[in-house]
Amino acid sequence: MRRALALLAAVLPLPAVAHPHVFIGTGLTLVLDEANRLAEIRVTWSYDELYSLLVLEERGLDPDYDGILTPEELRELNGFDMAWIEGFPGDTYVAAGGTPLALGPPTAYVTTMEEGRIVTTHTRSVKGAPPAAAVSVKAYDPTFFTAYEISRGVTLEGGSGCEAVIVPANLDAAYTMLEELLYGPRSSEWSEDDFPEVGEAFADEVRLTCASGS
Amino acid sequence: MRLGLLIPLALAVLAVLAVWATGGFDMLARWAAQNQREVQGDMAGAIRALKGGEAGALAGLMTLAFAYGFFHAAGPGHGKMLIGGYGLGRRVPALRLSVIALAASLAQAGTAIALVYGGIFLLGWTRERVEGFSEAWLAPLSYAAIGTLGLWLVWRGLRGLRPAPSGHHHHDHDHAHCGHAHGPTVEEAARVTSLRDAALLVGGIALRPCTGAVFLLIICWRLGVDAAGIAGTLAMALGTATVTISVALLSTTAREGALAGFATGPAARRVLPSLELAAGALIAAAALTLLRPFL
Repeated sequence: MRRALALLAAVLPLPAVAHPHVFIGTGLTLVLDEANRLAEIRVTWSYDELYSLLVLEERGLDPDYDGILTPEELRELNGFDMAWIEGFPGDTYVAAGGTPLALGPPTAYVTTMEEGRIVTTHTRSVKGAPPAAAVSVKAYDPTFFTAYEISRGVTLEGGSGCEAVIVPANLDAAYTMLEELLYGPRSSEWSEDDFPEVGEAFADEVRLTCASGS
Repeated sequence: MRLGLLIPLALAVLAVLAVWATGGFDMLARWAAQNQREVQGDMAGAIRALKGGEAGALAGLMTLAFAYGFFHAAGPGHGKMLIGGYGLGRRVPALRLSVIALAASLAQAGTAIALVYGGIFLLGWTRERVEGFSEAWLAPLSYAAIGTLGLWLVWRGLRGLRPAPSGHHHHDHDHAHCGHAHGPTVEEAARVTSLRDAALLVGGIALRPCTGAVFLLIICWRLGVDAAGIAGTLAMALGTATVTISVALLSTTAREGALAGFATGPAARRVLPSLELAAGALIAAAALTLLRPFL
C-alpha cells in the first residue's frame, strides 16, 4: 500500500497535492540512550476510517463489517504498509542541527484495529545517534496525498532531562508557498526532478530540548 | 474615466478567483480541509450502516457524499478558476455557464465510474493501476484541454485588440441586420465557438476523476452495494457543482456589472478583448504549470 502511495507520489503533479485523500493520525516515540542520544524512533500511523475500510475491503477482510478483525486477519493484514520501494524515505524525517539523518528500514511492525481505523506501528533506527538536544522530527508526505497530523502525541523513552515540544506548522505560510510555487514568478524554475516538497510546509515539527548539563 | 476604474475592478475579481483557486484563501482552504476530513470519516460509518441494513443509511451516505464534494471543491483546485476565468473572459449567459459547470461535474463522476468499472471490473486492474492511469494519462489530458482553452482565449483577445480599419465598426453594425447568409453567420460562428469552448471546459474538469469518488466506488463494489456507490459518486458531483456554479454566477455577474456602462460603446473594443486576453493568459499559465511535470 505504501509502495503504491510512494509510486503515486512519484507521478503526482503538484496541484493534486493540495488535496489530501488519506489522513493519518501520527504518534511518535523517541527512544534515547543513557547519553541522551536519539537511538531509534517508533512511529504509529492511524489511518482514517474511509481509507481503512478501503484497505480491508480490497483484501476481503472483516466479512462481518464490524471493524473488528480476528487475530488471523490481523496477521494477514500486518505489513500491508511496510513493503516500501527502494528509496522511499517512509514519510518520517529526522534532522540533527539542520542536517537530515538517514533512518533504518522499518522493523518490529504490528497492526491493530481501533474503532474501525487501522493502526500500525513500526520502529526505525536513527543513523549516527545524534544528541537529542539538536534533533528535529517531522512526519509528512512530500506530495501531500497523505496528510499526517501528530494527533497521537510524542513520547520520550529513556534519557534524562529532555522534553519534546511540537512546533505547529505555519499553515498560512504553507498555503502561500503553494500559491507562489504554482503561480508566482519563480514557478518556471522548478523541473520534474526538484519539484518542491509541499507536504513539508504543512508538517508540524517535533523539537527536543534537554536540560543543560545532562 | 470609468474605463480606468472598471478594468482594474474586473481584473481584481479575476485575481480573487485565481487566488482562491490556488489556495490563497487560507481560512477557507483550512476550513474546507478540516470538514473534508470529518466527512470522510463519517462516510465510512455510513457505508457500514448501509451494509448493516440500517434505516436511513442510504440518505445519510448521499448527504455525506454531497458534503464531501462541496468541501473538496471549496479547497484549492483548478475547476473554479477554469469556470470563473472563462466567465470573466468571455461573454457567456450565467445559465449556460452554470449548465456547463454542472455537466462538467457530472461528467467527472462518469469518468470515475467508467474507470473503476471499466478498469477494475472488466480489465482486472488493481486500484494502484487505476490511480496510476489517472495520474499518468487523464491528468495531463485534462491540463492540455485547459491550456488549449487558455491559448484560445488569448488568441481571440489579441485578434480583438488589433486596430480595426476605419469605419469598420459601423459597417459591421449594419451588416448584422442584412440577413444574407454568405458563409457562416455571426450566430453560427458563435455557436460553434461556444460548443468548442464548452467541450474544452467540460473536458478540462471531467477528464481527471476525483480520488475520493474512486475510493467510494471501490468500497461499495467490494461490499456489493454498487448502486449506492454510483449514486454517492453522483451526489459528490452535485456537491462540487454547487461550488463551480456559484463561481459561474459570480464571474458572469461581475463581468456584466463591470462592463454595463460601456459594453456597447467604442471603449468595449478595447476592454472586452483585454479581459479575454488576461483571463486566457491566466488559464494558460496555470495549465502549463500543471503540465510541466509531464513534459
